[in-house]
Amino acid sequence: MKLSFKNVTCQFGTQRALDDVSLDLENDEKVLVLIGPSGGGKSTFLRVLGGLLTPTSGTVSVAGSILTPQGLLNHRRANGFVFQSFNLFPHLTARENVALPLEKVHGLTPDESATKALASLARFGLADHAEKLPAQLSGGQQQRVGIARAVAPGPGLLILDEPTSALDPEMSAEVLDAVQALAAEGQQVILSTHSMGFARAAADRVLYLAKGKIIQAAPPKEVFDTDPSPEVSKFLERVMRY
Amino acid sequence: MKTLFTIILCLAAAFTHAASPLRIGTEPEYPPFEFVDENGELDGVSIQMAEALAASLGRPLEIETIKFDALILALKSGKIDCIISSMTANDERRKSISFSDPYVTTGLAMLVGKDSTIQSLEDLKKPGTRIVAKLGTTGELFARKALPEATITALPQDPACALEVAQGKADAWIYDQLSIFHHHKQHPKTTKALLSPLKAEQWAIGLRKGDEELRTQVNAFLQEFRAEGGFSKLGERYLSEEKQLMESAGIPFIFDGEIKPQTPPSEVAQEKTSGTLFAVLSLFGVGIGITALVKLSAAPGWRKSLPRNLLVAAIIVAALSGACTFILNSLNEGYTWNWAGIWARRAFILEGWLLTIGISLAALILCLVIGIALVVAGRSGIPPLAATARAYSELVRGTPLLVVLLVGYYVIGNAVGLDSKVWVGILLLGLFAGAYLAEVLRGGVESISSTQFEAARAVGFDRFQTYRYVIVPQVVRRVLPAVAGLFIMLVKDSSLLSVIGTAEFTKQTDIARAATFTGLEGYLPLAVGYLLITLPLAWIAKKLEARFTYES
Repeated sequence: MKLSFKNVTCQFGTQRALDDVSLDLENDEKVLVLIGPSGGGKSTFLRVLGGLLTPTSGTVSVAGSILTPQGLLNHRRANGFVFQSFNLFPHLTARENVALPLEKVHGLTPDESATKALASLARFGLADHAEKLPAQLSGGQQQRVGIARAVAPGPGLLILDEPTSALDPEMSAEVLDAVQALAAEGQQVILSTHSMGFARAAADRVLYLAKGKIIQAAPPKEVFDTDPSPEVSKFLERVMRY
Repeated sequence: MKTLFTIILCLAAAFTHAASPLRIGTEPEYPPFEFVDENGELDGVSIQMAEALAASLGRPLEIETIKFDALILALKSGKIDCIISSMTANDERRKSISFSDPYVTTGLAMLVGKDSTIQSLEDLKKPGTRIVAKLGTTGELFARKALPEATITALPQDPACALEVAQGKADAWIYDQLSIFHHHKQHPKTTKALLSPLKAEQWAIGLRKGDEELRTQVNAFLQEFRAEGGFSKLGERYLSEEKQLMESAGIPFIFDGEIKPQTPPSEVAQEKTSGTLFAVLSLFGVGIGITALVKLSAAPGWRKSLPRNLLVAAIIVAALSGACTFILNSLNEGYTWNWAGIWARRAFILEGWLLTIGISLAALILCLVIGIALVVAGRSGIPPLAATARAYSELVRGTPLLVVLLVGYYVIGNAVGLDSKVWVGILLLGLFAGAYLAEVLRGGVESISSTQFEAARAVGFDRFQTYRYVIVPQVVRRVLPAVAGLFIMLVKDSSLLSVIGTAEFTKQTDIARAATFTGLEGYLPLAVGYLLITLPLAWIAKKLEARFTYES
């Protein structure tokens, strides 16, 4: 994964969601996991990375190319984004949710789009639910449709913003299984999560973000076991207590 | 015992008779005959006459102010006892009511443009001559009879008629001498008054048919009042300028005309009321029945317990028809129905109905275009454009449609040289409704969560695609009920175009109603006619709503 943040700051009013963040990743990591307290800047980091948000200052480059305001649309088209609250289009069926961007954005014919959408849904165990509206699906199913929609065009980078926070543990497991399967197939994945177990098991590298700054960026073994920074230790102690 | 009872009965009768007020109807929009003075009090020749009449009959006076073309309806339905409102006694009106002896002799005159070549009635007979008249007046009746080749527009208000001539939108306004004289004084630079009478007219007090007792009393009063010099005094007090003017022009003053003895009221064949009542009732019955059945068949549990539901439906329909029968029956006692006049004008009314459909459709399309344009401008992110769109919406929504129409037609329409009452009507209606639609649509767009916009961007949609595929389909579903309501309102609001004289449904029905001096016979078809347009609209909206549902 080739990823670089240079002095990136994101300011909302008086609040700094990202505070002069710099980061360089040039390794062969496949899965990057963001952890840290709520309001620490994880969502903002992912939105900047996904091209949904332009930082107040600083530059971001992904896979060697620098993000510019003019290039954001193409950047978004090249990568996939999955939201905490699913954000499916409620007036479209699961199949249409996946097929519509394929047809209108990626230039496939309606037939090709439908076939590809059904294949993508089947891959996440949703073959029987393709013709249902989002309101007729469970939370876990909706999130898997969200992932199918993001993955179907073959994105360079799959970005997931707390994809399991709105789900109960069983449905969370469904979704995280799907993510892990994707990573196993070679998909580059960046996600933020409160599931430390998943971070430890699946991440190639863990990023700890708090108060808009990256406190620690290291392989999971280092962050969780051998050498957590003092702040990370305190955080882990709090979240692991119960 | 029996004599005592009789005495009490007589006393009671005498007492109630003495105490029952004399209810006189007038439209106080015709100075100096009947008007409201600067203190808000009724005044004028007719008001003074009314007071003298009530005093001579020894009854307390109650004056009801009623629109001129509704006066006859009020009299027929028993709301008032007589009309003193500068009303010309003519044969058309005699079909509906009876009249006292006349008290004023006047004539129809013309208001024409300053430089007009029109001199006499003959000049008006050319095809294409544009005549205005006040709705329901003898001027209108005369124009329709005497000038079949001319284009005749009937407007509900005097000043509008005068403006039509002053602005050159009409060639002549036919109305009584005094009005023409006064309106000419309002527009001295643009108009000319031709006062020599086109047709002599006599004003009389309107009375309910069959109320011969009051008729005799009123005639006796008029004779006495004239003998006492009452009319001369009123002439001096209210009409001295006019009196001078008319006498110098060699036209006899209005109170001094030859008073012809009143011919006994000619009996015009009246329709039997029972047949009419039956027709009205069946209309209501059928209407309610159809509506109820449509609603019922849409209910999910309808078929499960058919007999019970049918029974309940029958009871409801019966109760409603019963109520209608009761209401109409109580009305029927003092009301003579005259459907023949309206029926004879059915093609004329149908033309208006079709025009209403056309105007509504065109205005609806314009309203959509304007509403969408306003929303796009409002959300364009270009501050001056957005502010203008918002200001437009707020200004228009804060103004009554009536004012928009009058100002739009007589001021703006005149300034840009747009004369067609139909196109001005469509334009103004569309512009007006567009402002409302914009607010409905804006509310719809803003009710869509911002996460939908973000999701659409995330899958790679550009701005247009975001609206086209994600936002608009959701907005349509959400605003459909409100938009359907708005469209129905637009259809009904198109009736207001009658004030500028567009020949739409309400206007045509008004003309037919005024020409036949009928009341409810005009209003009932009006209600049915609008329902025939609005009910299908509501039905289509329901179908569309069902089609666009996506929330379980």
